[in-house]
Amino acid sequence: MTDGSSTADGASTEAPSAGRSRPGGRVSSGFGRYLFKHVGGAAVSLLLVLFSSFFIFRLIAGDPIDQLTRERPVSPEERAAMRAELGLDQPMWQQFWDYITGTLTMDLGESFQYRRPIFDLIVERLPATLILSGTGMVLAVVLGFWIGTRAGWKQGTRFDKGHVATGLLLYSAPTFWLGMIIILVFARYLGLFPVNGMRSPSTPPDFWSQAADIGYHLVLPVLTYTAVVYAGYLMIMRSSLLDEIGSDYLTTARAKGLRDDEVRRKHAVPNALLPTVTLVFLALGGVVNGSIVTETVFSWPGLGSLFVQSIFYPDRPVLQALFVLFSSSTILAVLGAEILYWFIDPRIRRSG
Amino acid sequence: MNPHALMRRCLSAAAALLLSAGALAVAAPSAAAQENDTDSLLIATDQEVDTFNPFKRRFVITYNTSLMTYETLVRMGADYEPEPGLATEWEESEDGLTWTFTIREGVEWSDGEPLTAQDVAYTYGLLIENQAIRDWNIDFAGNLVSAEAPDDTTFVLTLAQPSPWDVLTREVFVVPEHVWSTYPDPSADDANQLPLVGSGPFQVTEYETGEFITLEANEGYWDGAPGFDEVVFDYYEESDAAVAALEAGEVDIVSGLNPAQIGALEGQDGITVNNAQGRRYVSLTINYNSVTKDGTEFGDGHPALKDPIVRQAMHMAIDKQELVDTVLDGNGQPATSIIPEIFEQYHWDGGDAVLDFDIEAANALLDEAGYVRGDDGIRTMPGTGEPLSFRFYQHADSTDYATIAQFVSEWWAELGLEITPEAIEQGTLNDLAYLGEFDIAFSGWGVGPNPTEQLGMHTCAVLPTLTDGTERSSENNYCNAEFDALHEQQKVESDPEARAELVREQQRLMYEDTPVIYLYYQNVLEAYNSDKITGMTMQPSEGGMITGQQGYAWAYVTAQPADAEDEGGTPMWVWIAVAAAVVVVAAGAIVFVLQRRKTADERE
Amino acid sequence: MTTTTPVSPRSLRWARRRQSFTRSWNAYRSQRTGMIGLFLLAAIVILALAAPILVDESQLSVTQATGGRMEPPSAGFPLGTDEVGRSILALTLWGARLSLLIGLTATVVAILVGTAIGVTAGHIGGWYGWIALRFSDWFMVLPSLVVAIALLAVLGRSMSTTILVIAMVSWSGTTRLVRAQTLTVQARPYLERAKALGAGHWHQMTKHILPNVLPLVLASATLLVPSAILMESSLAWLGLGDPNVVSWGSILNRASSNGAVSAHAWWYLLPPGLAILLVVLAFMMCGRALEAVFNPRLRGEQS
Repeated sequence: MTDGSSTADGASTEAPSAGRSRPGGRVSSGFGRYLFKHVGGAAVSLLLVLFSSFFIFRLIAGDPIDQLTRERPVSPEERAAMRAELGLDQPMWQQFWDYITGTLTMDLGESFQYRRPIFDLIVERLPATLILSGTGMVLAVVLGFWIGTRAGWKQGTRFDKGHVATGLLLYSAPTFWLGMIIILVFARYLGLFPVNGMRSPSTPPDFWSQAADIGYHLVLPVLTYTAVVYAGYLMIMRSSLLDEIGSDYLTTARAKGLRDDEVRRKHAVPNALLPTVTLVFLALGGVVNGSIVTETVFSWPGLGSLFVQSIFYPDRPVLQALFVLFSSSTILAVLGAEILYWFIDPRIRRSG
Repeated sequence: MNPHALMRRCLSAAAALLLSAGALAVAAPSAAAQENDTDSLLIATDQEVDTFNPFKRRFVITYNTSLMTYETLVRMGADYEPEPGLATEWEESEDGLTWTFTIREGVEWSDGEPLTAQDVAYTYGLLIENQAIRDWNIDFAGNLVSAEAPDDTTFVLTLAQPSPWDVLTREVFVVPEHVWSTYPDPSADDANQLPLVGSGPFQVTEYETGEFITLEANEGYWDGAPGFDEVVFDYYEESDAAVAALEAGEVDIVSGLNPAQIGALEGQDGITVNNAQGRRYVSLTINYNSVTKDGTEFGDGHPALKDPIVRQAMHMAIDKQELVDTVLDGNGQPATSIIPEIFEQYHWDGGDAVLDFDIEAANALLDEAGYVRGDDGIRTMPGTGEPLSFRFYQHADSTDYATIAQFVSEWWAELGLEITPEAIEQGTLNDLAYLGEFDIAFSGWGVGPNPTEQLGMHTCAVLPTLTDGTERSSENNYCNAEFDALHEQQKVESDPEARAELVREQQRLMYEDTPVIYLYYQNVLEAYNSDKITGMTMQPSEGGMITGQQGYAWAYVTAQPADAEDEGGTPMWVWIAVAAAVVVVAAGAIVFVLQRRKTADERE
Repeated sequence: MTTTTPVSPRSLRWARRRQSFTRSWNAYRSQRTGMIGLFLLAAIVILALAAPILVDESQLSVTQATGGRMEPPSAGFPLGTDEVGRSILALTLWGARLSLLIGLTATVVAILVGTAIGVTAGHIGGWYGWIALRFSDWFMVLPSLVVAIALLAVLGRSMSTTILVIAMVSWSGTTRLVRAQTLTVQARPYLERAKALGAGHWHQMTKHILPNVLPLVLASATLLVPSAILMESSLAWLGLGDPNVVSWGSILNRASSNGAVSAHAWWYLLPPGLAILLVVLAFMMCGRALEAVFNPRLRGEQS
């Protein structure tokens, strides 16, 4: 869905990386070449991201000083002093050079709104994002694969139809809307869960109380995130299993007199799982991006809500850094999936 | 690895996850319920910290933390009257250039060191000698000549020009010399080192980005220790979430509410809604005079807007009361001028001069001036025949502005004006406004107790010298010699009543010239947990606000913990029910997983 | 076979197309979910088109609004009112027009761009094909919501920028699909024959490749529309849409910034959200059925 972007094509049954690896159909000279090609491609993509990030956000109109001094009269001297402090008085090429060298050495500059190093900001907020999307992703994958396997095996039954329908229905709901409805029901009407943030300030600082508090705050956001995302995995697992069911070896296995669920567990599921493993790998890239929408609905103090906040500020250095971080995490995840694919799918080895 | 062992392991992991999530859900409230002995005043906020350096802060949140951590020589009273702070008395010389303050004795910094006039001289000295700090505060610091402390209780400030109101209302937060002199650069963020050392009622001790700011009470505060042990600003990005937290007792004071939230909170036990007059106005800026100081015209404002008749007709076709009623749900006042009603002494209410909402009369005014309607119903300019078609820019991030724009466009359409409302990013809108490339645009400011600030943005002195939109001191290139003369007079007039008279006259002039149409003054909508807090002093003291106070944090200092034990939150039976459900589900899951594992093992 | 009937090549081509269309239609018709989706979609489109007849445009005017502030549903306002007293029913009906318009236009733009680049990349190949492929790959791996938000912040908020931005983040999938299909078609002998007979690039692309690629494009388009609609609503809800237009996303944005959740104004939240859900669901049902029709591997999978 719009959230957790790398699983977005849930309804399409092909693993996203399946098509890209065979451009000419020429025979390759092995893993080294394959690796080189994909690492090279990823490096070019990363470089493009690095460059475009600088220029895209420089196109945001408006003087950053106006944002810093919102609704307060400013004298020209004050303006000049602030420009100097933010490094805005430097020529463009100098700013670009500082940005490139800085980003490569993990010095991401200073945020306009927080007046702090962006690296620290990211380090501070990353755990929150990982907790939310990580938990959500694990739940979605497990739930999706589990139901998907069962539904695919019992294709056409009430179980199958019911789960496919439920999955599609949840998949069709806008994440932010589902989040608001969940808040309305579970937090407002029933009063069961807190609606906001990651922890309450009144919680004692010891580890277990904090962990419990975070877990308590985690329930509704994770519920929202999982509900929207799991259907994608369900569908993929289901159709992957359907592909296997038609295979000859299953018929052979059955002919050998193996029991139905043994056939499923020993033969069909392991084979059906293989193509989806890369998908899970892809999803890992999405975990860093977090879930911009879910984080915003629940005021979860992660990277996604930082990004949205910075858009409205607008906090150019933060946007630049997050754009690079988000994009490179998906690029690297795709690269990882491609490398993994080499080992999983023998067809690639043959066709290069 | 055996693939279906993997599958099974995944399933057990999922069950374990569900289990622990359930356990967390049950454990958390009991953890949260544990009362600790500190009385905390929890205030919802959504604004980040820019810097804790009091000379460089820009944001409201750090204004508030500075206001509590540090102190000024002169405090702003609950009714916006200057009263003794760190200085017990003060005296202005005949020529208005020398001010002598007597510094309070026995005041201590939060680290136990005594506060003397030396600290005050050091602080004002930073404004004069530290280039960065001086630039940062140039509108005030530019007028300072010297700051001296002849003895521990006397502080003498010398000015270049008399400026009594600036001296009394400008917040110069006095910082401890013994701490600040150790900083290599007091203008840098060294001053962010926590805990902060100050002489005010609370000091910032802890800050977690996006989570909370904690201020601890100064037990040795010279004006008596505050009622609460600490003040915590707690981050809520969505105001709906803050409201829910208030209802659940997780936060004590919530501000920036909208009418729907006020409606939902009103009448709830233990929650008091505070609907107070605000300091903020919302206005429409009309591009009628984009000229530089030397008279060069720039921008592309519509020529018809230069005609005061057109501006007046447009003014008359806006039903401000209707806007207050629908957009604010009645929580505000229709505006007449730049100084809001909350500053009674300075506010000009218009009296008989106020133009009433009357579309017919406005139409008649335009007819008379020769703006005839074309076949399409759009009026045209008398000479050139140019249609009266205006661009109307609003800030894209405000849904209130979108609603206002729709109302105003519909009214102006009845005048035969063609209006194109367009939502634009804040930054772009500012750029266009200072380049003079707009016809009508939204604007809005929060007004401080010293009217000079706002009125100063409408003097000829701040007109740009260049046409590239980089000089941004003038709000709307308003320039009126009479207004300027009054402005200079009011700046040095020491008698409050006489000064107020001048200020009101300035506002009357602006109303007649109509460079800006002031739409409304927005109320401050806030709510607090009255089971937990009593005795807050509002500003103004009658019907005033809690958050957004100026010059001294009256509300937070005077707030006292109420003794009533809080019984809010979720009733116990709900927790028992949830716990029971979780236990049943978990037990089921365990049995299920074990069962599967067993049968699977048997079968293999 | 066909050479025995003495008809012009043009009508022959049409006959063949009609035939394959009928075949596809029959395959589609046999899928129940696809038909349900189609009917649902038809109903929604008719409602959206008929909105001006069903509800007068003056109901969207704020100065003529008759209801109170966030009134719960009543006889006069079957779905309650918003914060200025307009009927939520009227807003939701009119919102359908813009949400569908944005979703469809963005998809059309994305498909046009994607197909053009895909066909040319596959057909011309060479360095152009390589660059086009790398470029679309690059767009494909970028996180789409992040890119969309960033681009909207840069380009400003209006309906046309929203459409443009959504198209920009969704064209690359089509390119990849079309390019792969183009390569397959090109390997077929009759294209070799056409080339030998002197057919130009333009002729080859429009007469031979495109007709073979289009069905797949159509199927993938039906799955692009729902994600475009979801994307639009998310962007509008985040406050990145044009607040002066009435779309489902912008209604929900107004609802949340006016405190509908705190006021328990479920009637303000449910209709636009459910409308999005229904449209997306309908498109997905159609899209899945179409996919099964054109992708034989999946045929028979759905009952």
